[in-house]
Formats: sequence, structure tokens, C-alpha cells
Amino acid sequence: MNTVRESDALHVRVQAFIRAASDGTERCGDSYESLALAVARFQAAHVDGYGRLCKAHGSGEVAATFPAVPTDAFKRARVSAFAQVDTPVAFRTSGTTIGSRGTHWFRHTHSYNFGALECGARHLRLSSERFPILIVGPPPAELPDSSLTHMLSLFVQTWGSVLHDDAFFLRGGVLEIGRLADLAQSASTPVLVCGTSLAFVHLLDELGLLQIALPTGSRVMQTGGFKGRSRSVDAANLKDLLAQAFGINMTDVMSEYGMTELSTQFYEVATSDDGFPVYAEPRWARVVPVDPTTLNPVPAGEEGIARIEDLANIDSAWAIVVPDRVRRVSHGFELMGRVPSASPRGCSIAIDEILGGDL
Amino acid sequence: MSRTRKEREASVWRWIEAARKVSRLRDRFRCDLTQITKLSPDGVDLALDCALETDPSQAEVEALVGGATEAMSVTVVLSPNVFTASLRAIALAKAAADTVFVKASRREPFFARLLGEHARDAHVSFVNEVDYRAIASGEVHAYGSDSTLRTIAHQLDKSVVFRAHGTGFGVAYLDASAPIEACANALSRDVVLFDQSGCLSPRIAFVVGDADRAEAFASTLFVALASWAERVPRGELDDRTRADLRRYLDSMHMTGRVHEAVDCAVTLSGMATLPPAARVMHVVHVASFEEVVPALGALAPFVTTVGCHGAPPEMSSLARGHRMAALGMMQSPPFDGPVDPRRWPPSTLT
Repeated sequence: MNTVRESDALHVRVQAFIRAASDGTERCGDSYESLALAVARFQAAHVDGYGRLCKAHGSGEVAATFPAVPTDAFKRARVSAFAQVDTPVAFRTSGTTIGSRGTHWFRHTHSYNFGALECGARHLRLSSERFPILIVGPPPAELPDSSLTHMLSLFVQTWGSVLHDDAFFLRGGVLEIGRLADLAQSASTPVLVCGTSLAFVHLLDELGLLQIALPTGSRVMQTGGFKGRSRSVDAANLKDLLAQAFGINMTDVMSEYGMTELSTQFYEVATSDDGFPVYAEPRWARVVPVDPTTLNPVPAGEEGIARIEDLANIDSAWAIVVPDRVRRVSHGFELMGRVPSASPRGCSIAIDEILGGDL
Repeated sequence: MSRTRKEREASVWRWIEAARKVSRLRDRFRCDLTQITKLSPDGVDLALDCALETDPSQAEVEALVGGATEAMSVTVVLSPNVFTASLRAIALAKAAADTVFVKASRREPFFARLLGEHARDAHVSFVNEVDYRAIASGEVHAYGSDSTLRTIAHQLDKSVVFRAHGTGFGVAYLDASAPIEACANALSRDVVLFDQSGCLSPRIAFVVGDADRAEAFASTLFVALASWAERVPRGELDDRTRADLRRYLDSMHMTGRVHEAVDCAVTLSGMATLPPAARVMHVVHVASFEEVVPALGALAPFVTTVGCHGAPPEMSSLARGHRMAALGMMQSPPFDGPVDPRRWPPSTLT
């Protein structure tokens, strides 16, 4: 079987698994393990570099023994089973002062879209009825290589009642607060306002003490951190400020955890006893806390860094490792913040210093 | 009161003599330094033998004193880990002023005080804290991370001269005629000293030629580093560095070639990247020296020294304000001024 046909077959299997995991209406012959093993073996054979990584670590007969790809690799290498000409979709990480941006290449976004809509529908309580979805962010035409913009555009197209081109409220770097307020406050149904943490901080700065009171039942979805930007706000505080600014309950401000290197997103379902957000995984993804030095799973209940397995990442890296601190809890995983890079040893520079903490 | 040039030189020689005594008495404090610096005992000895300037020439001391501007007093803020650097830092301060206050790093307060005990210089005081806002005149010489330096700079009165020496790293450069084995052997010494924790420590090597020549250099350098590891084991790495190292090596497996052993590694790809400071070198092949700066990108302003074989390459934007050194001598610059002559902050270099 050639690479394209092999990949296509895996996409079909993963989409069937997602569908089965979602509503149980379609039988699926695969288990998580069988699919993970198939995807891992496909990538070991076809993703340049992953075969070398597998050889260096050794990998056995179970998916968990296959190594995870550090997210830095997306900045340094082409993590894809296909040549550039065959991967027309490219999502890029936000830029850093070092200038290198990670790129996640896609042959197509069918499985990505499939999973994103399923996760969004479940956690954002979206239904077949259209309603206003308002994006505090740039339209896809301004940011075509952002996976987040792609996903939000998908939500607007699938569930939004506002015309797609009118649903984005950051154009040319200018926040269109007046238009956002008019649309939100004139809505006769609940609305969903989505944006990055950074965009919301700017919105809050511009609003000052003013409020955009949303209709009852409305929700806000915020995602992303601040990645070394000069302005940052504590996550819990940001939720509180957003709830006040939009006149909704804090429980209606939801967080999403995703990244360019993945095809699947995680939504906040609770707050842990320690005050950290708890995110849930869909059945086609797993977050495993691993020891940062060995990358082996830590004992149950202990903190580690995140090994994220995402079966929808069929043509790139089905398992990645991210320097985010996580711990398993009953409903999912606690996200406890980013692991700082090694402190400078003497006057030797640490990469964190150049990147301003954005690794 | 103004001092004569000879008096200023004598005050510097007093501290060099103290360093000689300390080096001779190393058996008494090697264990302490091992614990504090996390270098291996052999790593401590190597640093004392190769990086502590116990035998500078008269001309070097004259140059060091000649480069200093006289000041009423100097406050020296030292950085940890590169413990031998305290000698040059204090010497530079003594060249500028008789009255010197030394604030050693909390992580490595030991070696500077040891020098002080043997220098018996009544005009040098060791302090635990510095109230930077209270300094009304003179100079502050600070060594450390750029974030620490920024914090100090914000507190200083405009009348105080601030001489800051921030973070950085070294690069090695092999032109088309450089002999692979000799260069690898020489460079390995620079890598092993202080386990790459100095601002002069080489982290990236640029090799003129094709990928095969770069690979030949990488594999030869790896053998040389592995050989060093038998004689001078790498010190203990902290957990964060070990974690950074694991992720770095895994990402490099995805990108290019990795030579990895317990105590050292050499990675190879077509893109310049900064490896963790843990006896890890990254090798990149280029067509000429002119490609080095573009390849370094945003890292370029942080380059403190360029090590090369034979004559240094033509001065370029990278070489301005940097030390040039022979491979094998990158960590042993002449005792003629600060080891890092860049202006601070480094972004002003670009």
C-alpha cells in the first residue's frame, strides 16, 4: 500500500473511532490501542526523523512504548509523512524573538475538523440550532496559518448565525468593540464569545469599567496563554474579569487547551482542589504525565510533564511531549503551568532568556 | 586620592598572587567547590589549571589597567558557577578604584572570599547585599543574567557608571582548510571547561563545507568529548537541565544526527540551534563565514567569542565587539580586560 492510501485508510479508521466514541451509533472495530499502534507504526515508517527517534528509544509491541516528539521538533524539522507539495495546509505556532516558528503540516483537515467539531459540540454545549458566535480575533484571511482561527472559523460556519465574515472583531489590529457590543447585546438568543487570553486582556483594557452585557445563557470561551508577552493576567483572575465584563457567571467562562502541534483540543471541566483547571480528553486522545528526564510515565497521582497522544494527528506526530506540568485526576488532567527551562548555569545563556519564556 | 598607574597595577598583582596561593592550596577546598559548582573534582582542577589567570604577562596587566577608568569606588556583583571569573572581575575593579565592594553570588559565595582571604586587601570589602539606590557615585560592575542586570540598572542613579556583562555563549568556526581532528581535539577542551556553563563556552560549531564534512567533524568531536569524559567526568546536572537535554536530543533525532553518550553529545543539522549547557555541541555546515550571522539569527547578539583555527575570518557584524580565540583557548582569553567585551544590553549590537 502506498503512503497516501495507508494514510487515507487511517483517517477513515480514526474518524470512525471518533464517531463511535461520540454517540455510539456506529460500531468501530478498533480499540484505542490498535489505532494508536497502527498510527505510530505508520509514522515510524513514513515521518522522516520519527523512525530515528524510535530507533534511539526502542519501541515495542504496545503504543505506549513509542516515543513522543518534543514540540520543539516542529520548529526544527518537517514533522510529516508527506512532502511539502502534498501538504497544502500549514498551521504555524506564534512567532518568537528567535524567529523560528513551528509548523504543523496537513494533507487535509478532515480528521482535524471532525474532532474539533465533536469536542466543541460536547463541551461548548452546541446543538444543531444556529446562534451568534462572536470571535475576538482576526478573520482567517488575516491569519490563515493559525489553527485556532481555523477552528473558530469552523465553529462559525457550522453553528453560527452571524455571517462568517461579520463574526470576527479584530481587523487590522483594531478591536471593533462597538460592533461587538451592538451584535452581542441585540441578540435574542444566548451568544458564544471566543478569543485568546491575550485578545481578551486587550479587550478588557479598552473596555475599562464598561460592560458588554450578554443575553442570559451566553458563554465565553478563552484559550491560550501569554507566551512571554509583556502583558499577562492570572488565569483565574482573567475568568473573573471576563465574567464581570460580559455580565455572566464565572462558570460560563470556559477554557480550552490546545496547540498548533495537535489536532485535538481539551476543554476545562472542573477546577481542582489546588485551584488548577482540570481538562477532559476525548476518547481518541490521552494526556499522560511523564518524568521530564526519562519521559517514562510517573506513578498515578504524581505530577509530570505532558505526553499528549492524539490519534487525529495521523500524518505528523501521534504523540508529542510538551513542557507543561500535568497530573491525572478523576475527571481528566490538571494543568499546572509551564515547566521553566533550565536556569542559566553561571553566565551561560539559557534559551529561555532569548525566547522570553516562550518555548 | 588618585593612584599612579604603577599603584593600580600593583593592586591587581596582589590579587593575582592571591590566586596563585589559592590554586596551590586546592586540596583544602576542592570538595567545597565540587559541591557548590556541581563540577566534578577533576572539572574543578581543570578550571583552576586552565582558566584561573595565575600567570598573566606584565603587558596584559598593563592593558587591563590601561582600559579601566579611575573611579571613587567600584561595587562588583559576581555571577555563580564560573568561579574563577571572580579574579578577573576583582582585578578590573581594583584597576579602576582602590575601594571595592564585592557581592558574591548566593549560589557561589566561596571562591571570591577565598581569594580575599589571601589577598588581604584592606580596601576590598565583601558584602551580602547591595542597596543599589543608595550608590551615589563610582561604578558598578555586574556579571550575570540579562534579567538580573536589567534589575540592577533600573535601580542605579544616572551618575553611577554601570559596566554590565550579561549572558552569552561561544561559537566555533572551521574554515575549509581547518584540520578536522586537531580542531575537534582543541574545541573539546573548551567544551569541557566548566561543563559549558561559562559565557565563553562554545555551544555551536560552524563547519565550512558539505554535510559530510560537518558529520566527520561531529563524529570526531564526539570521540574527543567522550575521551575527555573519562579523564574529567561531567559534573552533576540538575533536573531541569536533564529534562531540557532529553527533549533537545529527541527533537534533534527528528531533525538530524545525534551522537550521544552518558556525559556528552554532539548534534548535527542544517540549522543553528542552541543546545543545553551540558557538554553538548551542535554542528552546522555553512558555505562561508558570511553565512554564520544569518544562520544564528536572533542568537547572534549573544555570541561572546568566536573560536577558530588559524587566522580569524574577516571581521563581520558577528565579530565586532567579540573575542576571537584559537580553538582550545576560547575559555582562556588574555588577561587584558573583561572576558566579554560586548556592549550591554546585547540587542544594541545588532
